[in-house]
Amino acid sequence: MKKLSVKIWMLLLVFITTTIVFLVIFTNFLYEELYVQHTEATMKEVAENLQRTYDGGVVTDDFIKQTEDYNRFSDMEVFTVRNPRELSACLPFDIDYDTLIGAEERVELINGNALTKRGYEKRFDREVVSVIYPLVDENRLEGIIYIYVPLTKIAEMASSDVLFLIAIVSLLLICLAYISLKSLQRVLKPLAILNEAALDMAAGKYDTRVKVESQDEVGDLAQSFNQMATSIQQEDDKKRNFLSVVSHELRTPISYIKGYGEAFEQNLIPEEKKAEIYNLIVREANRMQKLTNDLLTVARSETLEEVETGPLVLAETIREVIQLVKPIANEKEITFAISIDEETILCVDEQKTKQVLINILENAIRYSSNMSKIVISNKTMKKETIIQITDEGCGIEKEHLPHITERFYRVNKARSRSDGGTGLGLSIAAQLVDVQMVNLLLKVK
Amino acid sequence: MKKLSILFVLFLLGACGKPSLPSIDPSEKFVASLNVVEGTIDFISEEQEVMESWQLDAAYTGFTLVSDDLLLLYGFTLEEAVLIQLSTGKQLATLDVREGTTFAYAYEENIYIANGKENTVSLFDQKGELLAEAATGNYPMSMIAHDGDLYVVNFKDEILSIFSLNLKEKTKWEIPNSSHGILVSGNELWLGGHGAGSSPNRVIKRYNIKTGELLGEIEAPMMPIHMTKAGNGHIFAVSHGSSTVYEISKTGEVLASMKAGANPFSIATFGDNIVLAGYDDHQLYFIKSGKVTNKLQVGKGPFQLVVREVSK
Repeated sequence: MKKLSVKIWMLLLVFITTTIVFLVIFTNFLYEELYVQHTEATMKEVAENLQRTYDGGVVTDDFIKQTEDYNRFSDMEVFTVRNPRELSACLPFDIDYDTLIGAEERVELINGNALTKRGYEKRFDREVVSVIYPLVDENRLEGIIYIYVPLTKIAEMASSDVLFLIAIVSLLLICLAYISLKSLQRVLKPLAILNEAALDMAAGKYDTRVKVESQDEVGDLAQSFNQMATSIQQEDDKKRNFLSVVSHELRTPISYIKGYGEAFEQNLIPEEKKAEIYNLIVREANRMQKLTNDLLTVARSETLEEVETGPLVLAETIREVIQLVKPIANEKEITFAISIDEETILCVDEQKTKQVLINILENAIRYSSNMSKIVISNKTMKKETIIQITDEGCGIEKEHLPHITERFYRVNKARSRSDGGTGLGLSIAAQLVDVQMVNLLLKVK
Repeated sequence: MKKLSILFVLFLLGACGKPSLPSIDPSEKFVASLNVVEGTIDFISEEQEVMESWQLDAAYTGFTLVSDDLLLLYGFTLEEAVLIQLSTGKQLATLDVREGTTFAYAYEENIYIANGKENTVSLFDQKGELLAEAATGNYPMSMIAHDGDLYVVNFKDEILSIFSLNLKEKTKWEIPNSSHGILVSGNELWLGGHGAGSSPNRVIKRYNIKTGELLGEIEAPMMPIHMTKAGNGHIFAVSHGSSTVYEISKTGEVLASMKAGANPFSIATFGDNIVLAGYDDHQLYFIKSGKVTNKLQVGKGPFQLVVREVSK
């Protein structure tokens, strides 16, 4: 398996090479084309100059000499032809002679038009680019000025630079290959770092973070990775914390039970205290049972059991729940004031909703003073209802409010569980409310 | 309605036969030019106006007047030469020549056809019957008959062949290659030409018509290839290489020269005028007393001229 960087680099190399090769060919073509055009233009200029010196009449020897003088100064071949046979004048006669110009060319020239030709010329036995200018007197073709440059000459000129061109191109190619490789490595290096970090994370090193400065997609990925790592680390911390709290919560009743049990074993408890101690042991056992039940509920609700919604008469449900919590309320002589709309029917999961109400009411009772009153009311709107449970308890400081649904959260850290709570009631309620897509709002007046 | 339908049928019948060419008034004198590029013949009246124009249906490269009312048309690539009656425009006969006809010459009742592919000269009568045939040198072309002899110039050879009128070979003379343009002046045979290779011919050679002895040369640059005898006995020669017309006395002295035409190949005497055909500029030049008196636009590529002087 090839590395991604190698693949991309290969692709880049192919692109670069193709582009350069194409450019070289194109430049060469353009160069030749332009050179030929330039040569043509020069030849035309010379021919026009020579043509201007022709005064009509017979083409004289002087004129021919004058045109041939041009050869001395330039690399093009210049000559004047006046032999009628060369000019295809005898064409209607079947003459075995290769004329310099053909019949159609003759017609063009007689009309005063110059000719430009490019290609193989039998007379010179080579590829040439040539211009032919007529020397016309009235309508007689007295002669022609013929200028040509062998095309091979142009090609030769171009080929002398080819070696230089190849060297430059090769150098350019190597440079580009090196630069592209380096930049690719630079771009892809953070990916390798990320890979290493992910492996570290998998090995359990949750404090792993990557340091990436780039502002591109890879940078974004690194940032997301860091966020993910933070979340995982927090979750891990929470889990540890939870476990330590749970073990602490369990240890207290167990140590009570264990302590009293040992005292009984060694007959250290006086007879008159025994009834009280038994009572204490039962109470602690109950608390443990409740705690384990609550933990079970928390574990279950975390696995997101399916919510089975159905119609539920709110007033009826409230009354049932109050029957359940009445024994605890009675202990503190707490009374309930219920003002629930009898016609409100909810579409909720019955068990979960009851559990929520029980947990909240238990909490309210627990933190209410003796002889106080708990008000339960509801306000039904078009599609929803607000169930309001108000107690006259001690309340809570605002800063703790966001945390009271956290598991085992204690407003007063020193406070024991003497009030009988497990520290999970509101947390469970919040969770159950959450899975049913309703809101739990806790307020302090 | 009935009249109309009859006319229609006649028209159809007319369309079915070979279309005849426009007729030429037998009472008119004319000079005709064969325009080989365009494939037309223009007939020009004494008034120096085009009186009729023939559009030809084959690649004819030459023509000659066989009689006052009979025109022979031939082409190098054609296997038939045709005889056309001028007064009706109808084709009267065909001559089964083979491909390669370079020149035709009519003398009395005879028609001589030179063939540059077969290297023969053939004798036909005016009905198109082949009467005789003889082998020549390479590429026979110019011909002229004089005093019972037929002189045949072999264009791509250095031989002039002399036959009897019924094509019995008599003798041969040595002449330059690419000779063309032949004229009898008194006891002399005058011969022009293009010149072989890259050096153009500049002279008309004068030969003793009986012996073939070279009597002298007349400077007439460049490429004198056609001559005509004028009413005053002077000979006019055209040199196509320099587009020059020379007026030459019977004794071979150049009396005058003038530039005329663009690449002219043919010259003819028509009444008091000398007519010159400019191949490149498609014009006929009428020359009188050493001056161009008129120019007349004809079809493209006028290559040959024939003249009909005698009217009915």
